[in-house]
Amino acid sequence: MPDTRLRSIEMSCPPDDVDTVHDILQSVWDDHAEVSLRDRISFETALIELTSNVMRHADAGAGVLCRLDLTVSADSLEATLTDSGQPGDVRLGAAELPDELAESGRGLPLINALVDVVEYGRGDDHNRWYIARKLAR
Amino acid sequence: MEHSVTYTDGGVAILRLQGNLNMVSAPAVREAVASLVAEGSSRVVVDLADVPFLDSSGLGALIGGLKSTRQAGGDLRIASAGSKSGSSSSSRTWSGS
Repeated sequence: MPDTRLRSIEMSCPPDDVDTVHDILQSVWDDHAEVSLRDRISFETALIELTSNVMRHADAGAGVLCRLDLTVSADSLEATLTDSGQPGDVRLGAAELPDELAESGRGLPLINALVDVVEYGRGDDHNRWYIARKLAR
Repeated sequence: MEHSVTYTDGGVAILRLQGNLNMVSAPAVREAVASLVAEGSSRVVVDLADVPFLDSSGLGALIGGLKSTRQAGGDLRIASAGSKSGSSSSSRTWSGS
């Protein structure tokens, strides 16, 4: 099992977008074949949902700057996403799935379902999101 | 995301998508289905065989397409879901006339 590894990227959105996150995750999976497909898909979906939410809601018109820190350890996958956007309108605990024909509103429920830890905080005019998924052993 | 359209002999439009279906590509999928409906093709199959990733933005686009085809008297089905992503969802194929 490789040692704990940290990978970081700074994004300016636009032009960076969620495809930038897909690309960095692909490089992470390439280096960590030991992470199961189920863990990869679950964590990638949660992180893309989170990043989409930040890019969609934190941008007041001037774009948003984000920093993504990814940590892969023997026990978990972790991501910290910091952004310069508007304060998040966060209702993590109450996020429930919308009507089945709704075209939006599934992002936060999906995140909650796919990772074990979801935290949000705000300080120094930045939003800070943290998600973690325990790995199957 | 790239896409292509073919038609069955029965007039069903098959929309083949290629790439991740997320907030970047979802608007193009909405537009593609809207164009098909505007051209009179309200029976649509969306082929996901070459879509390795689909999130809630992509799902929203598919549901939007479903509603627009039904409003035009047709329907939208998905095919080959999960064939690349490795998800547990079963493949579904068009069985309509």
